[in-house]
Amino acid sequence: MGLITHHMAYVRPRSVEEAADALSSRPDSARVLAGGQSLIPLMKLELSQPELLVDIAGIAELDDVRDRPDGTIEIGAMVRHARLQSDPTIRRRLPLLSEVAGLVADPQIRTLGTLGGSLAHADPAGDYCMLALALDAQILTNRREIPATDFFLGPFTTPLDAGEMVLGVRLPASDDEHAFVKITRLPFDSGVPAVVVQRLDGVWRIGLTNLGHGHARARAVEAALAAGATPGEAVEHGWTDIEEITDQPVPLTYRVHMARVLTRRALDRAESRGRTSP
Amino acid sequence: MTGDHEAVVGRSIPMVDGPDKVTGRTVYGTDYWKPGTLVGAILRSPYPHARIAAIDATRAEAVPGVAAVITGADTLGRTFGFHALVSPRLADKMPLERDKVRFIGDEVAAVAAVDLATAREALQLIDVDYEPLDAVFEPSEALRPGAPVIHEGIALNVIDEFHFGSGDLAQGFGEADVIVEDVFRTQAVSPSALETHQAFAEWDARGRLTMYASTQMPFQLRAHMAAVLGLSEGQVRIVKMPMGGGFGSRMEMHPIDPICALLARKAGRPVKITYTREEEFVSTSHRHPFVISGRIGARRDGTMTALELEFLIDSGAYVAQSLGVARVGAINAATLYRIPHTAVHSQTVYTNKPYPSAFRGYGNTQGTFAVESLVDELAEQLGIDAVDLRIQNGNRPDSVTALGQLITSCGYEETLTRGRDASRWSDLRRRRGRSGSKAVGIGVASTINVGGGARDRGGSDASGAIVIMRDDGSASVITGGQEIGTGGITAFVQIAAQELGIPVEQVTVSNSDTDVIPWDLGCHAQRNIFCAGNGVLLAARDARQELLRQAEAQLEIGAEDLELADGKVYARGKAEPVTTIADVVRHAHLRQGGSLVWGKGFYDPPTEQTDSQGHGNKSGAYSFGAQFVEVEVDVETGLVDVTRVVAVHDVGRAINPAGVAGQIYGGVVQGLGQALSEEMVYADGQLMNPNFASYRLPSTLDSPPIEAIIVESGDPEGPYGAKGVGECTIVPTCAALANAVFDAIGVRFTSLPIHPWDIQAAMADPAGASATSSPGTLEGRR
Repeated sequence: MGLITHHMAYVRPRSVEEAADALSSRPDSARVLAGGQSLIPLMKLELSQPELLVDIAGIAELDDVRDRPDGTIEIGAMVRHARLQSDPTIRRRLPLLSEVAGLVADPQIRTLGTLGGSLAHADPAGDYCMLALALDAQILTNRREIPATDFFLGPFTTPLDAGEMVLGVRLPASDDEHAFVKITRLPFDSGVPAVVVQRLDGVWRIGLTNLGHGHARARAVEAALAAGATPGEAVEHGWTDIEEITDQPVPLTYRVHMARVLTRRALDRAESRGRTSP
Repeated sequence: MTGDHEAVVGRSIPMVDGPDKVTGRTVYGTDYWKPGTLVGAILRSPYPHARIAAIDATRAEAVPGVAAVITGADTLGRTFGFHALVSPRLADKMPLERDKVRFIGDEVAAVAAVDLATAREALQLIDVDYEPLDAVFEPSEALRPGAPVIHEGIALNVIDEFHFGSGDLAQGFGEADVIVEDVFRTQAVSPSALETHQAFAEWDARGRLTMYASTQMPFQLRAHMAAVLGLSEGQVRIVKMPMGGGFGSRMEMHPIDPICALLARKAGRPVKITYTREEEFVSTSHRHPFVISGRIGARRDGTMTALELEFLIDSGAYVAQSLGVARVGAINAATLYRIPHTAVHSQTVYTNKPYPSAFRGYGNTQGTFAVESLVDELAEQLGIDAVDLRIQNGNRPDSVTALGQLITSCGYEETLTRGRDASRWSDLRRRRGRSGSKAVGIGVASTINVGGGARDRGGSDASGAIVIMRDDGSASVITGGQEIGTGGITAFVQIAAQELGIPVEQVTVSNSDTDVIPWDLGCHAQRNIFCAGNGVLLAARDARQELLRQAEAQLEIGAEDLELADGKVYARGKAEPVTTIADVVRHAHLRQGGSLVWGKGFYDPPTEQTDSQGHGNKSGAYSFGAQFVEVEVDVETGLVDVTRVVAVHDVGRAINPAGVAGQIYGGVVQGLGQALSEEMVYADGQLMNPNFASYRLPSTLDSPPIEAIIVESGDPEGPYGAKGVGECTIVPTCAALANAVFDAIGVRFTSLPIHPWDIQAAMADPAGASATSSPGTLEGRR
């Protein structure tokens, strides 16, 4: 509606504990503000009307990238898209994530929006969600670690409890072949699948947005590739159990067709480009 | 010396209102505010069709901070409508409906309060008892016997029906060797002006109303406000604010205007209402959806012999400007080519949806999409080049069309030949080669458009202007001519500076306050430069004559031997000036028995109202154009990449070439939006995408390289030969794009927009590739 007219309280805690306390103080009506690039528009549309905003931008430890000796990287919830795009560690250790970050919305949003905010929002068009799903990421909260497959339950739906907040994500590092294909041109910069493919320990991982109830893992295609199929052959597998999302103007048959085409194109691109040199 | 005085007309000077706009200084209507102003908000119907049994506003009135609540009972119960002068039944809308609502969004009640939150809270406390009625959403269904009656007394919901034409259709098709026919569908698209509509109303202690309004037609707004509120026109003052885009949507009085005035009167304080984007989509103008059945015939040599078109037009819940849109669509479609036997049958039908009205192109975009697609197919079947076929049948200078329009200046052929060369048409057409999944193609479409206003019922197509010289030699131009972002006032400045022999920096334009500005019909129908520009030209010439008379008396040199240039007065043939214009003005003003140095002008083009058959020369000039669109189609994804557009327009004379090019760029991009991505999607009368996240406007990143080519045919009636260019630039774009897609992949799409999934489906199943695209709406797929 353009203007936020309802009244709300706002706090800016300095620590995770303070933030958790604030969230628990109003379990039904507090929301985490983690960049605000999705929440604020929802508030303008009156689709979300929190009574308390807990702004976690002041918690320094959440704006951190850690390259771990076990071959994973941990990224804090408040790391902005723009940093994911340019951070040397990420570009070297998981270049696919930098590539994905570079096509999030526009530069203004990339400057303010965050990885954690995007994951917790679980938008079916959210590119990090499919990446987390494809790489079997762990979502780190102040209470537990949640595997990505158990985290993205549907459009804008996660298992986060009242008082629980996303602190970061742990991803396997890999600079093996990978590609990200997303159509950014009109008429659909939303509603049509985008694809990430990443070879991890010799095995292809494939994640998509905007399919079924949200994000999807193309496991049948992964299996066909593992069994030696070419990309063109492999993408003929699967796609059968995809249900229509309501409120979706792009026909389902077309979205499934695009999932096939874009997955094949992503695999072709990944193979033709090979490993990314640091 | 006069040779040194460079012509101002024809130069690409920067827009005079540009610096304030780009530095944020311009106070638009939505920016306007004064202390003590209340905020208004409107309650809208949640039903597409329902009887209002009762309204109880008691709870809303009790909310602290609420100053006024109004319903239909607070109005005079009068209806209004843009075409109300034609027939009282065309006045079918009330500011707030009393008995019945006819679309989701229809105005029911309104609140003025101290702030928006309070106003919205109060809206939720207005209790309306609705009795839902059966609703109908498609014109074809609204026409069926037994369909819900949306307006009492309008049988089968047909609000308007007419037959235009000339000659004998049977004879024309009898003479044809080839006949092409098809059915075309165009969608509802939004003008999407950056600034949403607003109203600001204030009453003085003596009961006089002032509206700070973003309007293209201040005098029409004044008249309609007076009529619906029961005031005389003199009791209403319109202060026109700078506009963040109009595109036709600010032509008429919308319900927001009288609602705001009624709230302000009841509250006894100024009230401002600002539309959200959702309200902008639902409650202002958008383009009428047309279904067009078309048939065209030609002899084997390419001579077109007959054209028949049937329009079925969706008027939504109210008529607004449907009559004008239908007629403009019909006349242009029938006269783009010199076809002796033509017929257009048009029906305009009410449905329970938000109602369309004026939008750049005004019926012509829809009709031209059909005709220019048919002509492309005709060229295909005749084996004649599509450019050659158009030139062969197109309009020519100094001719009369079958509907009686006097074509004077006409650069139609030149727009096609120059576009053909610049686009490399002959090299690119019919390549039909595919590289990987990409197919390339080029298409063309052309346009005729009124280029100098459109005389409508009501008599006047006039523009008045006043030019007053100031003591420093600068000039004040006072005009009803408009600036809706199209460069109007910059052109007025150039015209006045040219006539008066002063620098453009010394000319200002006042065009805002109806208490000050002279009569002007308003900004529409490509009349701003032509009519208001001519008014300014006449006023500036009158002021120049007065300047020369004063100089003659002061200098004792005959006026015929004096020249004005660079702000100075020269004796003919002398290099050194005799005096300055400033000195002449000061000597006229600052002495006993002095006189005002000023001029006035009033221009009304030599045109006539069209008759019931569509015959008559309704415009002072006609604009022509041709656009060449180059595409790359990804046959696997159905995605169309527009790689280049060459747009050639005959504007008579470019007073400001950069401004003309800007109009061309904007029209092309807006046209490509309609062709490829924009559509207002409804489900049971509910608009599903009233926001820019799901209603997809092209951005600069989606805009192709556009080469704008200006043809100057020199119109005998236009100011310095100029004709209008604001609207015609959007008219041929959809057809040119569709024709390019046909050239690329051999499938002709007849429904807009052309969705990627339509193309993909056609390519996946070439045998079943129908020539129509599927509706992409939620409704259509149920």
